[in-house]
Order: sequence, then structure tokens, then C-alpha cells
Amino acid sequence: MIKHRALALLKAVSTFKGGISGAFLLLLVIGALFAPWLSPYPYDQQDLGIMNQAPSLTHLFGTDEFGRDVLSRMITGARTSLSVSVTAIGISVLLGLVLGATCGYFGGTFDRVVMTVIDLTWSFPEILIALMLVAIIGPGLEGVVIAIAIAYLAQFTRLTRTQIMSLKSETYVEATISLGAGHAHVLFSHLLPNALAPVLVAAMLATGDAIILEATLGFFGLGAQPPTPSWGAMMSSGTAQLFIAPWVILLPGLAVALTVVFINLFGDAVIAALDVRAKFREA
Amino acid sequence: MLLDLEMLRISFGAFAPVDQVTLSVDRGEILGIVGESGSGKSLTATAIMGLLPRIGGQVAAGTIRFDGTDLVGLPERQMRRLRGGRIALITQNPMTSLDSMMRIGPQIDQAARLHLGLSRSAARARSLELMADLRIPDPASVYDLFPHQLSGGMKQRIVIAMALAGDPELLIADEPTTALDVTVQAQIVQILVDLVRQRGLGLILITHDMGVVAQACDRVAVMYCGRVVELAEVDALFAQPRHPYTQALIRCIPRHDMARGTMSAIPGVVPSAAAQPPGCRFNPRCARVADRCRVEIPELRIGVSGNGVACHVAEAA
Repeated sequence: MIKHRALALLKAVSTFKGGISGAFLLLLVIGALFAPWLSPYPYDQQDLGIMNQAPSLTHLFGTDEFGRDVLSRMITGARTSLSVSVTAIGISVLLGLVLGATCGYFGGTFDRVVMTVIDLTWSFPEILIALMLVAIIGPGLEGVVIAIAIAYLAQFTRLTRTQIMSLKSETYVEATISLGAGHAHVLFSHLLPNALAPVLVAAMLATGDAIILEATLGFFGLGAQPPTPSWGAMMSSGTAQLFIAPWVILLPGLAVALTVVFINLFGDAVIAALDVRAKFREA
Repeated sequence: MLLDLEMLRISFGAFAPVDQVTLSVDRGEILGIVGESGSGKSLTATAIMGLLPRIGGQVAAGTIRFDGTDLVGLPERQMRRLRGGRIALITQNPMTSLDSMMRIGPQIDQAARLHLGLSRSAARARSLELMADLRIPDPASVYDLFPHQLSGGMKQRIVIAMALAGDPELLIADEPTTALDVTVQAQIVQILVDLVRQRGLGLILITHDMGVVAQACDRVAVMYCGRVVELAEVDALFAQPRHPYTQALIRCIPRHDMARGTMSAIPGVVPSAAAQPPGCRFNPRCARVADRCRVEIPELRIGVSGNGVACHVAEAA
């Protein structure tokens, strides 16, 4: 199964779309991981003598209103944005898998109660839920992680639940039950592995949205607190110099846009490569 | 008797798609259950496996005695120990009976690990042996394949191996050959017959193919609309079918020496559970229907020979 998944990933990367987006995302992840070593200047080093300088050879992406190097801040900001959205989506997927699988498999009153609450959260836009939650928990990265995780929980829970419900009536599940298997065996050995692929793809696409959500919360000053940089917070402070130093707001904006576009492209490539139904047709 | 059903009634809410089913199987015996789609064959099998609640049904009356214990109302824990351990089900369609995300081998291992408490390596050795018994070429490499890499006949053998892995005493095969090519069908039926003869298993073979019945079964229960209409030794059934429905079924078997255009079919369709006719359920389609058949439901009367028929006309004759 592991080999099969790895093969699908290889197939995704070998397409044009998947290759380009994969390369960009890999670069981004490397940048985020090795931010302290890769950034040309410390992200919080101020130099009031070189405020709002346009991009040049010494400062490739220019400097901001405190004379800080924008490139260094963007590299460190990538670290914040990526780790926050990936952690949040990870928590969301795990919770969604557990809730969705239990609801879909057992049904009954528990299912009805949980799904009602989940549907309730789904009737609000994610941004509203996230804002509300951050307002309750208080600003800061932990608050943002929890807010994003809960904002996207509905989609993963629903997706898993539907998958499990339709898989539950498959003949191989009946066959396993007639072998005397218990609930845990059926759920973990047969249902979850079969339900996982679409959930993982949805998780990948949601990571793109989560990056935007994280930037939005950062823009409102609810995410990373100064001096820690995040793309959203950088854009927020850049609004004041929009006409004096447009690179301070435009470059982080471009980073958000490109990252989200490439995550979506990569997701598309993986969907195409993972298409289990197409594989059945070949066999 | 290994398995004894007595006056079994299965209900889904107000409907009882299976009623008054009485039949039995002994060790080393093959009982065929034949009938059209919707006659309650598969439901009967589901009831024996104790899986009716899964699809929203229940046993409303009657007993299912397996080796002396009544399975009706048996706690789920004990039922689970029987399932796969002493009674195994070979599911209808081998194409969908295997988990496409799991390798073949571990799927066969399951029952042995669940019921015989074998370790992974012991279960593997046992599965390889089983696969060889079922004439699967090169078991060791097939063990590591995924289901989509196998042909239909091979998959059906794997499904049979899965069912046998827990060392059951009773095997229920629900239309094991329906989804297969004719040439492969005969092989699979032969494998099942050999299993019964060599291991002394009891086998319930559910099918709508009279050819398979003639090839394999010792005794046959013919079902129509949830009732057993005729129960007979296989030779007696083909030589002297007593119920008009059985006679019609046998007439429907195509033969190579038939004149063109003489193929027969039974007129009409099986009535739905919601629209059962009064009296004998076969009366609207029966060629020999009498007045009594339209009002009174005939009961299955089993004689000393173990054969019986549920038909007013046949009993009068």
C-alpha cells in the first residue's frame, strides 16, 4: 500500500503541472525549514537608515518601514504560514477522520448529534468562525491553529462519514464481518484505508485555503505577534506604505497567491494520479 | 444434523419476505437452494450468519439450530465466534468481495488469526497451503498481489480460501459462480464439491442455475416467494419434479438438441413482498392452478423419505 501511494506520488510529479508545482512547494518547504540559515539578514534586524528602500542587489526584495530586509522576513514568514496551516489542517483531518468514521460506521443518535453540530459550523463562512474563535481564545499562533482546525473540521468529517457509509455496504465488508471480525478490525483494517485517499486530497487543497485564512487573520493582527513575521502581518503593515514602498505589501501577497495556486495545481495532479476508479478500469 | 432451520420467518417491518422455511444440512452433504431472484435464498443465508440486523431485518419466528444450539437470539459475541470460525459465507460477487486496498495474502490470513489465534507467519503458512489446495498456481507470489491483478475465477478461489481459513464446519456459498465464465464455473463448483467430500463440511449452495444443482447437490430445496415449495433428493427432483414451479424451472434449462424456438420461460414475474397473491404464491403463474390454490396456502409436508412438496395439486395426485 505504501509502495502504491509512493508510485502515485511519483506519477503526479512526473506530469508538467505536478512537476512545476511540486518543485515550487519543495523549494518553499526547504526555505521554511532552513529559514535561519537561508535568510540573508536576521528577520528582526532594524536599520532606520535604509527605511523603505526599493529592491536592490544588497536587499533583493527591498526593506520595510523599519529598514528590515523583506526577503528575510518573507522566508521566516513562510515558516509561520506553512507550519500554522499544516498543523491546523493536520489536527482538523485527524479529528475529522475519527468523528466521521465513528458517525458513519455506527450511525444512530451519536451520529445525529455530532452531524447537527458540524452542519451548524458549516453554515458560517470559515473566516467568520475563525475570527470568532480567535476572539474567544485570544490572538497568537495557538489560537489561529485551533481556529483554522475547527473552521475546516466540518468538511473532513462530512467527507469521511460519507465515504465510510458507502463503503460499509460493500461486499468485502460483509465478507469480513462474516469471517467474525469485530468493529475495530473492520473500521481500521478495511474501511479507513479505503476512505483515506479522497480525504488526503481534500486536506491538501484545504491547506491552500488555510494559508489564505492564516494570512487574513495575520492581516487583522490576530495571528503572529510582532516581531515574528507572517505573510499576512507583513501585508498589514505594508498597507501604510502602499504608495511609497509597494514591494512591502505586494511581494508577500504574491507569495500567498503563488503558494495557493501551486498547492491547488499539485492537488489536481495527485487526484489524477491517485484516481482509483481509473485504475480499476485498466485492470 | 449440522444445521436445522425450522419454520423460519424473516421480517422487515410489516413484510415477511421469508416464511415457514424448514430445511437441514448434514456434515458431508450439499444442499442446494434454488429459486429466482427475490425468492429469499440470500436472506436465508444472511439469517444463518446472523447478519440480518445489518440490513434492517430480523428473525420473527422459528429456529436456526446449528450443531444443537439455536442461533436465534444468540449474543453477538458468541455469534461472532461462530462466524468465520464454524460457519463461513462465500459472498456473491468475487469482483467486489475482496478489499482492493489490501494484498491477497493478509485477507486470507484474517480468519485464521481471528479464530485460530495464529501468528502472522503461521497464518501465512496456512494460507499458502490453502491456496495450493485450491489449485492456485504459485501461491507464494499470488500472496503478495492486489485483487485487481487477478482474474475472476482466481478471485473466487481466494474468496473460498478466505472462508476456509477459519476451519469452518458449515459453508454457505451464495451464488458462487454467477459472475464467472461458464468454463470457470464448472471448476469452482468442482472445488466446492471436493471440499465437502474430503473435509466432511456441510455446504449450502445457493444458486439459480439448475445445471449447477444437477452437477453438485445431494438434496435440493426449491424456494419461491420466501417459501420452500419442494424439498427432494437431487435425482428424484430431476426425474420426478412434483411442484409445478420445479417442473417449470426444469423445463427452462436449455438443451443443445432443442428445436429452434421451443425454449420455454415461466410466464409472469415474481410478485413483490408487498403484493403477494392470496393462497399459493405461485398460483397466478401456475399452469395447473385449481380453485383451492387461490385461497389456501399449501404447507410443506415432508414425508418419511425426507422429500416433500407444498402444493395442493401435487398432493391430490
